[in-house]
Amino acid sequence: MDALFGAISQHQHNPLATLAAQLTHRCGSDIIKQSQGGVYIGYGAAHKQAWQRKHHSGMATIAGNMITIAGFFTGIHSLNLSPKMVLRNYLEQGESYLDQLTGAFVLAISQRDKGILMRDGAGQRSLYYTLLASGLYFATEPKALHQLPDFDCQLDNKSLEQYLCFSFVPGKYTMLKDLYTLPPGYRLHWQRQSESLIIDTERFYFFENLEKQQQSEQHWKNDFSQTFADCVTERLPQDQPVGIFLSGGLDSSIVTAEVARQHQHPIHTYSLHFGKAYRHELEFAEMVAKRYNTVHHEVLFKPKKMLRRLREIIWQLDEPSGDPITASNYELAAHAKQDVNWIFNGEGGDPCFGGPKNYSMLLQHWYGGIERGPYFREHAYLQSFKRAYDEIDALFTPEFRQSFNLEEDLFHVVRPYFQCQQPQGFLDKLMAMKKHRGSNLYIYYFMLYPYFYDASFTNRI
Amino acid sequence: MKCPNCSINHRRKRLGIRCSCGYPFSFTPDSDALTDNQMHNLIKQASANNTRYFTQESLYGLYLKISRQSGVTPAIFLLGVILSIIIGNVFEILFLFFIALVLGIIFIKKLAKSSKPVSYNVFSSMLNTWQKTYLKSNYLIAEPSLNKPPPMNEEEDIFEYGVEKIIIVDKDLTVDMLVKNNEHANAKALIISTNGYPNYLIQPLKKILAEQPEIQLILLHAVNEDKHSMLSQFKIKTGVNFNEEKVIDAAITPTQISNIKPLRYLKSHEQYATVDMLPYAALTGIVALGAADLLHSDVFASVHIINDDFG
Repeated sequence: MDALFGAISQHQHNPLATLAAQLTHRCGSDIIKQSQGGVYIGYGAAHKQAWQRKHHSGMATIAGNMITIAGFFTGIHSLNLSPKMVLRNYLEQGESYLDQLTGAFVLAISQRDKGILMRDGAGQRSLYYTLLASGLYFATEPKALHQLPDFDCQLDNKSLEQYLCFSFVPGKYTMLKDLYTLPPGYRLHWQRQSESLIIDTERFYFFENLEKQQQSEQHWKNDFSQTFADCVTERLPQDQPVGIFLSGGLDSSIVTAEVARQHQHPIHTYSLHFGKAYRHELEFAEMVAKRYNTVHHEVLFKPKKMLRRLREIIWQLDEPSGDPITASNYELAAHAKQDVNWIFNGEGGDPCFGGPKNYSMLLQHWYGGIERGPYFREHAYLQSFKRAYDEIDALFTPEFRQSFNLEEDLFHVVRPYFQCQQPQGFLDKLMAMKKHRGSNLYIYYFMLYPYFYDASFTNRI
Repeated sequence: MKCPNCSINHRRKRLGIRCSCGYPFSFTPDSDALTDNQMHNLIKQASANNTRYFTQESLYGLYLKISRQSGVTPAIFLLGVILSIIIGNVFEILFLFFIALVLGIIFIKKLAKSSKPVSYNVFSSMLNTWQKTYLKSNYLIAEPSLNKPPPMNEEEDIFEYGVEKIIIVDKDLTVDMLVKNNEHANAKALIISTNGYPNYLIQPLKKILAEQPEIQLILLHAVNEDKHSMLSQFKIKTGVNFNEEKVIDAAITPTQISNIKPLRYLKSHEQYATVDMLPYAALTGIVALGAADLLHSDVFASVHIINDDFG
């Protein structure tokens, strides 16, 4: 993955070297920098970024206006896009042009005393920012911002509570005070006014407003097959072997089948297990590998080995991820790097198609005679996560616990999804929440794969 | 007698004693099988520290299991008596004979306490007494309470999908216990009793069966119930006729109680053992199993593998 970082400095201080120093694991020292009137932007391309959409990212300038794009665009109309074209279209058509862009990207545009930061609708790429006395700073990974001399790394207690209950910190907040993430489908506007810098954020992508179409089952089958095939096409590298994390389950098996159908170069599949005495799906993965003639690898996860890498994993993650598979995925990635530079996987299936976790929420509504408080649904939702929600009172000292407000910090985060007018159906509401959760959780999978160019693609479907 | 409310120990052991904290004792060690503190601890354990609903049967099952375990302590004392006598005799140490005498007295007292557990009826009567005290448990399910249908929801798709299996249990109270503890959601199961309780779920059940004719059907019941009569009763109450061959019978049998070590605590009650007398983790483990697992293994033989624990 490539890196984007920069600052809108109030004191004409160039922080690019400080920010870039923390992002070399993504792009080495091959970094392009631009600066103009206190606006400093840097971009680092991923190593050997040799694939058909590499021209989407980079930097461009038109008449003193600057654009920087990290990531890539998807969709048939975006094939020939370049940073210069995006900037030109934006200057001609205004901000509404940007709404049409789809893909896995973040971008920064600056025009004299104002500018925009933007993150894709599904949140496939990340962008963090902090507003300090010396200016606005941003980067695709927060580790770059931690290094700023006037950034004070302090734990946010509310975020800790949320993390323990959701397994991620929802919304724009992070585990650290004054450090924010731009949520998926959001733009941040900045503007200089006399001596001050004003920022505001705006949501531009509303997937829940997409109109429901009444179509035949066959129509949806065909539509899915085509979209899915396009997603794979858009992400396949040219003339290189690729790897697939193949669990043997439905999602990764379908991905394997489609990659095998399209790719003419060697395909490596990787299946993780914790020792054959433990429950695993190796036989299913092997069946899929045989059928599609892949070079199959069974990778044994050893906790001892993982412990040695723990510090490295935490550094890569920046923000903690409550998904227990995180560490083992890292091991799998490290193993796969020996063979390939590109990895495909089945992550993101649940946010797209529902998955088994909706059952629990539906069933909570089936029986009567159960006491339903004012936050019945919110409570049920947090319970269904099976994280620390039920134990939160026992986890902290009463003094520390007093700094939390269960209603404000947890229930009110979930409530808008249940009370919204759109989508109308309960399942669609749950799916909207899953998308939110997915964009928060899956981003860490991408962060974990420092070696690879792309990690997942199903969020687009 | 230890006060369950403030933990103060009282030397006097007679009925009607009131602790300095105000707690009035309900039982006496000399005439009752359990002390107030023991009943309190039993309920605390069955309710997982007031976080889990339980039935009278599940509490009695726990009592039987603990009673069986408490036979170990007197055995240790007996060993101490024998060793003290042997060593005292060999080395002519009078002091060891004195220790043997003390241990012997304790042994007899412990043995008296660990004698055969009280019957279900006696236990039930003690529990009734306990539930009249102010330390009564709100987690004891005494009667079915899921009769009233759930409130209407704004959304119309609540029953669109939601279950992977149907579990039919022999008692309404078992439905209450599992549902109130959210086990239906954990197991992705519609849980209904042979009485068709709760009856507002009969229509959704029929819809599920029409849409998913191959859905897993599991029958969970006590020793003294049988598959055929349960399904007949279910048909009368609900109008739903299951193909018996497709229904997996997950029942406890007297043979299993005799042969499977972790179930032997039910021996004294083997003709009447109910599924809620199983350790809670084992019961929910079975509820969570898929039909394939239930078919290909002796369910109750794997109880101890799932979790040999009441916690």
